[in-house]
Amino acid sequence: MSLLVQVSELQFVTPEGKRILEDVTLRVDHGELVFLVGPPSSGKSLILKLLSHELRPQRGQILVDDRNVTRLHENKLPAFRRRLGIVPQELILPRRTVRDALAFKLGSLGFSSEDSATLIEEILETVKLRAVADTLITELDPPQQKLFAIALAACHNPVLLLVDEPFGGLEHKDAQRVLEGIAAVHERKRVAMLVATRERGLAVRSGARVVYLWAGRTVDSAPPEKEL
Amino acid sequence: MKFLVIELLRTVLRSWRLVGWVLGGAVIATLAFVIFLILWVARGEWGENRLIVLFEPGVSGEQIRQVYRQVREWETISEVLYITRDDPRLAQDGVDPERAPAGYLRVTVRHASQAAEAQAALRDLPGVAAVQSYQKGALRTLIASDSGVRTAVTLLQIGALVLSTVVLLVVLRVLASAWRGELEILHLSGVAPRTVRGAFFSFAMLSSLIIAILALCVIMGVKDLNLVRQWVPELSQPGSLGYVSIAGIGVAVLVGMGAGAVGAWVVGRRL
Repeated sequence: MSLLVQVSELQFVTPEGKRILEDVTLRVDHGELVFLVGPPSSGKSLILKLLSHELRPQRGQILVDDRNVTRLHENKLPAFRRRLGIVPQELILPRRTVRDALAFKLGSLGFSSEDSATLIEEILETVKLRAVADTLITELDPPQQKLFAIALAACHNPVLLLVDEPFGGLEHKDAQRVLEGIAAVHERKRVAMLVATRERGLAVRSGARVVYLWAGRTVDSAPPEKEL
Repeated sequence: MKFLVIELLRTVLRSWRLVGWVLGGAVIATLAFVIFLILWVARGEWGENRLIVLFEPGVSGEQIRQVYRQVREWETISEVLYITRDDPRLAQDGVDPERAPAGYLRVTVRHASQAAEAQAALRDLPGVAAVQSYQKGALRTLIASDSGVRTAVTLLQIGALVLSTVVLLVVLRVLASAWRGELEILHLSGVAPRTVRGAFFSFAMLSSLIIAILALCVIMGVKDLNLVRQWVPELSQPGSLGYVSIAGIGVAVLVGMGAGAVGAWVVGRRL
């Protein structure tokens, strides 16, 4: 598999001077599913924001899809973002049905109504939300809302999906359902995914590669269980 | 961007609350704009360079045409029209048919300042019985008589424009707030901010255009009311329909859309 994301010697310090990331190195290949596991406030979400150019690091290099993200000009940001699918921790839900919200996103990206309809059916089937396609998003149950957020991010066939804490606030059974949705999207779309979570057990059981974030550094072996 | 503008309109139409905001805003902005336009017409110079030349009984049409040909050559005159008794413009000019059995002349002077001089010269022409100048409405007379009133009218006009802009701005803010979820989707999807701002800008332009047209419709509707005829007869004077619909529409649309642009710019900065 070819390289899609290459992060090296990444460092991030808050404006207050708090060092969050010390030395982060990360690699994600095309079509690969990677879990980024770490304790709360360890900088997982921060790494996703740095990858999507929401924030800029003080030091280090980030290459995504052959683009040097740290030096990306603002003018080129929209085109870059279209190559990504971003699932934020908390999505502000529009007052629309699932199908209508997906159609809104695809329409705003310039997809024709025929192409949109095809992509919507495909992603709804993948995340098993077809039965609630015409339900208001605000009326979905929490795991369905998480699956909707993933479907929304993945529906336009991005090359990289950045998923931030998809299991947050869910019971184990529901978290498992969301994990199955993530695996199904990965399997169906063959999209590279970086999933930031504190749920080590779920990440390990998924069978995907797991990278740990610990004390501002990425490590391949798991830190002590009680620390996560 | 067209897709987003249509989606904005759909969002408005799907919510009674937003329909209420938009309609309420449109009514207030339209009334404010009507005030602006009426004051604008009332304080202008329109019609003050226009003279009506009436002839003595017994003067024939051929004699009036001779005067017409003579006056047409004068440097200070921009237009002369020979209006016959059966011409509908006679009623528009408010001329009594008994006083113009063979017709009359409508003379337009190049500049309002030359009207008095032209009036005197026209009186001396053969067969001329009277030269009527344009009658000022009560509001225009009031504005012309006192600099304090002129200042107050200017402030009122500015206030009316500011009110329209603020109302439009508030409606756009309410719409942006109702679109929080959609705005996040657009942000995450990589839709350029200028495209989103452009959609709101187009929506504001469209709203302003509708408000300007509504304001003109209101003016057309009220111009024949007695109260309006007494205070702002300029609205129903000969040619004023064309005057309002061409120059007025131009100003109304430009000023209204300018107000819309300001509102969209203020809201767009925060999107």
